[in-house]
Amino acid sequence: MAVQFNVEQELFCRFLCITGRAVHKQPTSYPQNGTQANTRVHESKCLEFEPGLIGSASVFTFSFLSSDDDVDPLTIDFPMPSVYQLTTVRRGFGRDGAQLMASSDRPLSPHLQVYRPQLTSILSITHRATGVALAGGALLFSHWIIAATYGADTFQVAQDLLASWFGRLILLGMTFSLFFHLGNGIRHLAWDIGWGFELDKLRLSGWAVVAFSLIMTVITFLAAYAARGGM
Amino acid sequence: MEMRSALNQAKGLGSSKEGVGHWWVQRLTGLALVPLTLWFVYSAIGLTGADLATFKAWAGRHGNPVLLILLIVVMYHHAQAGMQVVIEDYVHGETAKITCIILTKFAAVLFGGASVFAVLRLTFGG
Repeated sequence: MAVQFNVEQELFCRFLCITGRAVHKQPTSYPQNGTQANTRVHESKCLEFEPGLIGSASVFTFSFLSSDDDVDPLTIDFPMPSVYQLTTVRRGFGRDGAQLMASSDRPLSPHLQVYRPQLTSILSITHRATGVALAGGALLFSHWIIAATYGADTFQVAQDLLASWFGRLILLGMTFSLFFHLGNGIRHLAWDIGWGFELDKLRLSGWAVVAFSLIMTVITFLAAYAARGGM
Repeated sequence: MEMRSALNQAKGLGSSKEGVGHWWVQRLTGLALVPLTLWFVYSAIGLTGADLATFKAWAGRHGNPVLLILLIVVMYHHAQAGMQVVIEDYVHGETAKITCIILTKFAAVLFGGASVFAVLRLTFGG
């Protein structure tokens, strides 16, 4: 069965292919927490093309390099104005697979969602989160101390706010955040002087920080309730 | 081939134009905050449910005003330095990034300054 293409069409497809202008965009799934899938658009360039027939229509089939094994090669109908829409800035590459891999298929760092959560990464992001929370805690501290300059009534409002159930919840969070950030901050300082980079020490110091912040939070609240003389 | 001038190498400031200054500030303020925050938490435990007279007596006692002012200055310095890094990492777009960083630094100076002023007022009356 003869494939109905003229020379111009074939040259055009070859041009698209060898200049890397035919780009296949496809959603790619990465495993997340072992169950869910996270989808992002994955681009790959045309490796080769082949004239053929689908039904009675003449088509060029473009094959693409992909990290997924089960991706269907893209099929483009003639005439193909849509090819122009597939055109991107990628150009200047030949059919060399290594070059293609180097240019388009490498994931960008850090893309947290593709990593399995581990103690080190969890503690790292918690350090940041508690730091941001404590920046808010600084404002709360300022509110408290400035309220004292406005007289006994205003200070009492601030004290009552802190003593409300919501205030206590915030203070609980602030206390934990403070001790976590303090403990993990010391861990950071230890790294800065070169101590504790070995995996076993990382895990040991990590769990020590978790235990320290939890225990100190409990002790602080027990002491505060004792100082207050009950709930 | 070495592309950096001898002066540039000697100054050691690198591509970020500020060398390790920001990094060092984070470490130094963090280290200073260890005793300051522990002192404050210890003090705050005793101030749960306190009235203004008790609070003022504590705030004006011995070295407490100095420690409070140190805590405020170092805390806000540390907070804005840390927030800057977080903003640099998560806010994309140069305009939004610079705007956020400037607002953070202004807010730190504003609230830090107001807090120091409050300590002075509590200490010297008014």
